[in-house]
Amino acid sequence: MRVAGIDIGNSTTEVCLARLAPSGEVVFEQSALVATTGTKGTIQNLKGIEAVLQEATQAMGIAPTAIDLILLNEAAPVIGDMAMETITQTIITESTMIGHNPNTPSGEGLGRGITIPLESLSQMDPKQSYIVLVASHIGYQEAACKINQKSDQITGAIIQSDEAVLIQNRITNPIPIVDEVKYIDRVPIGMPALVEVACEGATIQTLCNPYGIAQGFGLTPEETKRIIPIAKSLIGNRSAVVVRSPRGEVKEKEIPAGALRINFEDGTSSEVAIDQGSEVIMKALTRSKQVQDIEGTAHSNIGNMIVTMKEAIRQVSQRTDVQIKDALAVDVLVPMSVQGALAGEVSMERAVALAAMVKADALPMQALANALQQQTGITVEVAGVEGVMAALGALTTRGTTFPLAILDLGGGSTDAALLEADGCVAVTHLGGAGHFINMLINTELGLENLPLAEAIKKYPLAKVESLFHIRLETGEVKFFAQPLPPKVFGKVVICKGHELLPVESKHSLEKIVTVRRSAKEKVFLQNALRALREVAKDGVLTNIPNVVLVGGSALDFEIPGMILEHLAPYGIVVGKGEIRGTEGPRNAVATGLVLSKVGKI
Amino acid sequence: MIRPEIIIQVHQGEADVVSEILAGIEEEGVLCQVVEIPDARSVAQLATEGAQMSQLEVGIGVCKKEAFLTVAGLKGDVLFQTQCAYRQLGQNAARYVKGNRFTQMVGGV
Repeated sequence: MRVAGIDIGNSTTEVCLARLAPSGEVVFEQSALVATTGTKGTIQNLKGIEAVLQEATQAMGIAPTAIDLILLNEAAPVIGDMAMETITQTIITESTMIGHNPNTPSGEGLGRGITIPLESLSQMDPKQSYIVLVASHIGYQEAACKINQKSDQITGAIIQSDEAVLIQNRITNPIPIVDEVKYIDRVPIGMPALVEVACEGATIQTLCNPYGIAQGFGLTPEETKRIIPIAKSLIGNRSAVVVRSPRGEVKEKEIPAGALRINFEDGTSSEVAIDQGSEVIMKALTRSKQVQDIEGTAHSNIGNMIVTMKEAIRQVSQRTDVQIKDALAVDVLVPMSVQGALAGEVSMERAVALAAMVKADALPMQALANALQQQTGITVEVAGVEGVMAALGALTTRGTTFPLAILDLGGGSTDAALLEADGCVAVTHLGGAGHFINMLINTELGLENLPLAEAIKKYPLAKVESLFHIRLETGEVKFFAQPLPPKVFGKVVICKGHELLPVESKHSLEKIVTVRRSAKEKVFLQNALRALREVAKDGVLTNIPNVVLVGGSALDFEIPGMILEHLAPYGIVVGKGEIRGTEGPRNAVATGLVLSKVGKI
Repeated sequence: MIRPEIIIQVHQGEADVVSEILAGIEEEGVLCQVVEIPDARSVAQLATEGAQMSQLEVGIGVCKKEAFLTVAGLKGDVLFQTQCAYRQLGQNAARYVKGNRFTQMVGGV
């Protein structure tokens, strides 16, 4: 008898084809995988199921009708979603500062004076020092010539185009010059200003120090207090300008973030303010009580975020009761463009990202099974609970034994199940998985490109050091016989097989690697520990002898290693599954479905 | 000792073409040298010879309004070529030396 075990997951639909003999003998024949169509557990899945059966049978050269029995899993009725909201915002009112890193500023030190356009140099007061503004329509030769005529009074320059070095090389008295200031017309004229450029390899020292600015402008203690956000936002730049305009200021606005209200099954509830950070939120969530629902303060950011999230889930699942059963909160620093900026400055704003998991009563699997039976003419059964099936499948990994825990690192949720030798099973589902990592990478690097973020998650990085070689993140160097395309030269690239995808951002390779690893740690390390504690006997991790990692994210090149490093001290054997010795961490549920039928026909 | 510099070979080049290329290289802080070539040659040839002579392996050929950038490893193939974005061509020659990403060439190849 030929049976097909089909696992419909959040992101992939997998099949395992096998022949079962009444004697209990089982011969695995084929497996295949396609993207899930529609939300899992809905009738839209039919398309994906048909496609995956087609693929598997075609590879064997048989017709889909050669299958005698199709087994569907009782998919865990969980759907994950995520959202992110910034809780701080930097706004410049009037123009007061320029803090950016042009490729080539010039000069060194601090210049102090009154801002004046190059065209008005003739109206200079002979007793004053000046900072000169050069718009892009003025060439470097003309600018240098005019500055030279008044060189004893000009202490610094702000240039619109990329010509700082060119001007510096043509003037008699070296001055600090900041260039590539896009919106130079917004710099107020006739105001005291400070221009600072650090030498190569260093960062500015005066303008990122509140007392440095106070000294430069002669500020009172009260005024000094108000310029803290300016100093703070200039830290780490190689060049900066601060203009003192009467009304202008830089504000760091705290957006009313609101609070999360967690209602527990036993009727109690607790409230956590979002700006207390993810650690406090997660502590409130893991108080060993079943969560009944999570809400946000009405009309606050978090409130809106949760309402939108629930609405989205309601729409895809077509359910009326949407209750959040678990959430994973993560602190993130997001680069956001500063409102009113003069040179496209960005500031790192604090934000909180939330992945939520919604549980419904049950997914209409039986309806799906009926529809499938009607369409194919093959007997279809809903055969078993997802977690148990995954554990059964995972047992085909060599070196495993009871009690066996599986960690299913999926796209939408992190699931765990513990299978005892006597058949006892504990199952849990947590919010936050692969898709959440994509979102974290996307926002922390300011990419605004989810497919690129996903590629960063999946593949190692390299730096293109010449047209003929790249240096991989491991430090190895790889040479090419043919020149690489100029569009990747000097850039950080993603090594997707033989393809090199450029990462269009100013971040260094090290920075991207750090963000990638921390996103993975924040999501899967935390969730692995939370999930295993929930299924472990008495909540004690050491009661679990071995953990098998399954699911798409277990294929990741560094996540299994991270989890092993963290669980090894507890004496737990943990590793990527080798389902049937051939499938890697994939196909666990589908294989489990087939195995659940052994000896039952 | 040979100075590490970009070699710019010019045959009947227009003055402002050369000066813009020089400005681009100067802004990036890289050394360069201009060589006047009296015999007629293609911009590609001028640049390729320049790249072969340059210790930095970067050569630029200029002929009238045409500018051509190549590096020794490319064996005469073009890296960038332009009839207007001379400043950026100079900058990109220098950025090649520094290993920095190229700036966008408006109206160039």
